[in-house]
Amino acid sequence: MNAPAASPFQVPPALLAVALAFWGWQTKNGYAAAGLALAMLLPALTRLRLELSERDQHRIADLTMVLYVAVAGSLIATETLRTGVHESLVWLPGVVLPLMLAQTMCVEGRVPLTALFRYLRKLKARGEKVKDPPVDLTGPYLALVLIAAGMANQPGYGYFAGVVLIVAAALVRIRPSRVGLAGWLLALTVSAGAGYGIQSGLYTLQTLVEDWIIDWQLSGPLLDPYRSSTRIGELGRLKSEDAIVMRVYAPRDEPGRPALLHRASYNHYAGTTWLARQGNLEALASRGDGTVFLLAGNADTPPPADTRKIRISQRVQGGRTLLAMPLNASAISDLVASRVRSNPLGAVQAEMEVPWTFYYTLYSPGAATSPPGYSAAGAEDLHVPERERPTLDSVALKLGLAGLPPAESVRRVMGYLAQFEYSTVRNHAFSDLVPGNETPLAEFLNTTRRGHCEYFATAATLLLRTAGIPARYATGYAIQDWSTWEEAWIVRERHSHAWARAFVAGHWQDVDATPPAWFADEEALAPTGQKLADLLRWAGFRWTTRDGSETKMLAWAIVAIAAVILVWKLVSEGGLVRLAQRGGDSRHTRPGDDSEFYAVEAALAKRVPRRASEPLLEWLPRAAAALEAGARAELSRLAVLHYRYRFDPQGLPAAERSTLSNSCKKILAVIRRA
Amino acid sequence: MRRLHYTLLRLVSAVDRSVRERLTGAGKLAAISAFMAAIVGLDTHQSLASQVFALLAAMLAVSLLLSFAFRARVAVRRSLPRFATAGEELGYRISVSNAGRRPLADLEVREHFADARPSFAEFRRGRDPRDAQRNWVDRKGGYFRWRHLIERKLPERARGGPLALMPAGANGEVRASLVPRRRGVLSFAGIDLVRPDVFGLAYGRVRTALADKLVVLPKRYRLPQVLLPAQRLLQPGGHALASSIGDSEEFLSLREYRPGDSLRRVHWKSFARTGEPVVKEFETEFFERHALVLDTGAAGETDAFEEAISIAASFVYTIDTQESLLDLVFVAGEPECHTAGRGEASNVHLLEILAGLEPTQPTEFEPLAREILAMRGSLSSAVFVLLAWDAPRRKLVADLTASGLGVRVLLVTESPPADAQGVLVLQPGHIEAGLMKFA
Repeated sequence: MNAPAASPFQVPPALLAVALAFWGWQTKNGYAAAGLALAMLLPALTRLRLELSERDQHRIADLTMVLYVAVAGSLIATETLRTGVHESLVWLPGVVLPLMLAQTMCVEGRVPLTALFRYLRKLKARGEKVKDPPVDLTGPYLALVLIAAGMANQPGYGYFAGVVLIVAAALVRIRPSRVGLAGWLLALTVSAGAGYGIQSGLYTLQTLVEDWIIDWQLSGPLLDPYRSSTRIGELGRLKSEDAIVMRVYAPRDEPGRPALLHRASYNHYAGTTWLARQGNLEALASRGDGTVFLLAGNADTPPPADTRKIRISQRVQGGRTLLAMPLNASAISDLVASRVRSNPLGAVQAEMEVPWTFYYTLYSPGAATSPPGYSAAGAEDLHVPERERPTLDSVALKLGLAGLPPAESVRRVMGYLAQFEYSTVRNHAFSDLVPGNETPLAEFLNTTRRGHCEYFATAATLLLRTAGIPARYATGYAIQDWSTWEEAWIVRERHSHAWARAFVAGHWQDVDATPPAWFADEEALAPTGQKLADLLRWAGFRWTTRDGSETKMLAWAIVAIAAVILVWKLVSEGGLVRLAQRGGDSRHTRPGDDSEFYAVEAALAKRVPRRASEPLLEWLPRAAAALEAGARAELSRLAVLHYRYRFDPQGLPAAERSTLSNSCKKILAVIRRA
Repeated sequence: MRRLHYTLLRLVSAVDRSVRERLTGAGKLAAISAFMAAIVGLDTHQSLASQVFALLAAMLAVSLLLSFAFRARVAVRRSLPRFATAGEELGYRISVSNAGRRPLADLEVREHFADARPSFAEFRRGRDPRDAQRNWVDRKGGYFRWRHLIERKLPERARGGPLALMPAGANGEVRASLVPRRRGVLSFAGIDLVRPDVFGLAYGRVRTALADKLVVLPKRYRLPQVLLPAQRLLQPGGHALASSIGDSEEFLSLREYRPGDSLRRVHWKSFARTGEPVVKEFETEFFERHALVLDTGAAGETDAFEEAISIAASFVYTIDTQESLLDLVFVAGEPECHTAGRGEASNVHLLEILAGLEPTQPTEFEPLAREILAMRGSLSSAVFVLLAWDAPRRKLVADLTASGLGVRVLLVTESPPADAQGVLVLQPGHIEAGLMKFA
């Protein structure tokens, strides 16, 4: 049935229940959805109503807000900020339920506008004229349920199709009387098609933008296993981030503890970027209970005798991370991840949906051969870019590297670079070539003799290659900062580091050519109050990594306490009234409420609206003017019968009641045809 | 910067008005929902909420496109009364004839008021009456000032109504109503005929220019019976004696006793019969003349100033000007005195004057005081509606009281003074209750 042009938009409870079922399907919360849908249908199922004052409704709205903060807070505490907020949006239909019930279950059937806006309440209390009309929340609630269902991000076309159907069901009720169903459906189809096109376009656009940003910003030398765009020649003040990205649980005074944790190696230098040639990631099969991953690739190989174990917790961003491991790592254990992949250059990428991951890594500090997980030296590890060659050759000549034993070459290169100065302050604007047509690396070696770790690592790698020693550019973290209260080595973002890996005497070894002063220089950049910030970070870390079930219990406890407070407040202030005991709800028990004449009146009102103060019998001839004389007379007769049915204390005899019912149906058909 | 601020407010206001006029209730909900979905679904890889945005945006676009296609040839007429009163509902009729060849259905009639956005000068000059209560952001943001300046020109509520199906050539009528927010002039620019689009999200609109103006008289309060001193004085200068009650020896009628009536006029027989004092009235040029002195010295259109005007309007409406003269005295640049009664002018004339009154500087009371003192000889009584109780005002009231004139003083203020003996202090927001104490 079409509503008159000016009728307000209202969503029936049944449609809200359907929308909640849709939400349950999308979010895989079937039981919760069933409960919410049942709550929506409650007004139709029970005669129980709440007699709520304006103040009560303000309180319920406030409690709803408190509930949301509690739910969002507990979810954020359990997950990351982003995931917590996201999850809290998924649960919004449940959180807002008290407010919806305040509307659907209260006698007025509406909520005052001031319940939703505390600021309006404040203005009103101040004596200002504030519009405070009773508002219907069914429409906004429907939108909220649909949006919340979308936050579940279920693949497929089901979500879009469901949204189209539910929105259509909501809007068909206000279809103007002049618009035929076919035309309406056509407009809906066009809109749905356009909507689908828009959403596809948005998705594609975001993908393109993200790709572009990734391409542009892949300077994070420690994130991409395929490529490391160094900041050689780029601006200064690098690595200033103070945030803790890793904790390494190794005794402070343990001899031979690893000083460098490797995350990725690169074997080809082009421009100012290191690339991992033949560095494709391949899935790494798990062993045992699914948390053990052998980098050596062969479970039967017995571990070397001096194998050690080190426990690491590492921050995860974007659902994936490159695991940090010491030289000669052979296995990872206790790692809970949905997927683990590794490449021949020692990068191990794990995917998981937690903010922090914990794992053990097994390594052999004194191994005479490199584990099979790190590929043997190849031709690529000796490649020197042509444009860097003149500079490198001249330095190699100066150092007399030709014909030296590899170990001596390493010592000389280290000794040579030790005379350079560590600095993160830029010399000039970014460019592959610096003024004077010199490459940044050449400028570093010939002129400035100062730079950050990427300069040193690149120079060392390429000088070793010039001397005929296979070498790779390695990135990871330096471990140098001990935390007393955490009893662990803490690694900050600014401890990210680059060094060379050289293949000497049949195995790989780390060659860190950066002057040791670099760490002191970096520490000098630490902000004031770092200790206090670290304490807070530690508290946050402990809270985030605590057992999830405890947090969930806390969240449910908050919800339960809020619900108890709400019910207690309502009951103690006499808001809960069983209307049946008070003589019933007059809206449901008014005599003649089921008269079929109301449908006739509504059908006529669509064509000729009845004025607010216009009596029925005065309006009827005006409304029925377009009908035939017979129909007009019948209408007048039915109106009298309807009035008798409504107002005569004796009611209508069964025969006349039947006449009213049947004749109304007939005249309704006549009106619709006209 | 101020100009930019003003331009921004003007632009936002125009967009707001356009959205309000163009979108139906469901359309506004769809637009807000689309906006919210766009915000939470910004990352299309993490959620599907952007699909709600996409669908609703497409539906709104289709709705708006279709709504722009609405055309109708109509003739519209508005039948307005001459006056309205602030705060009181006014009903009137709008007639529409379908001059086109096609029937028109689902139509609704709405008033289109003249652009109420203030000019830059008005915005700079204007003051929010509640400025002192606002926080720094609200004061500097100017939103409340802007809203106040717009709202003062628009009614609190205006309702059109739906039109029945109109075949070609048919006429229809809508009983419209509005509640003026404040006194002054309400400007109508035209009448909109709107029709919801296929989804019921946007309105198609046909606008007919039909400018009109309506004088809105000030809001009035109920007053208790006003018994002003009935001392009759010779009114030289040829007041029209169209009415008939005075003090000649020609008996005219009897009426109840009022303070100030001479005992010689008591009609003892009637007194004995009724138990209430009754006096005789005679025809002459001696008659009552009352002054209603309105203090317009206020820092802007404050609540107190508006309430003072409403109180003055209540007196103008209540004091009988059939048989006496009522002088409305106030300052508007210079002291002005307008007289009603005994054929001079009707009290509606005074109400019209009050409808257009603007505040003056609080210091401009001296000229008003001189004017009142000059009129003293012909006055039977004076009612003061004051906005302050400072030395000049106290002195004037004391001088007039000392001269034997019956003086009543009403002071409208948020903060009652300590030394307001004999003054009826009224607080904005509680005027009606306060006026009940007037005697």
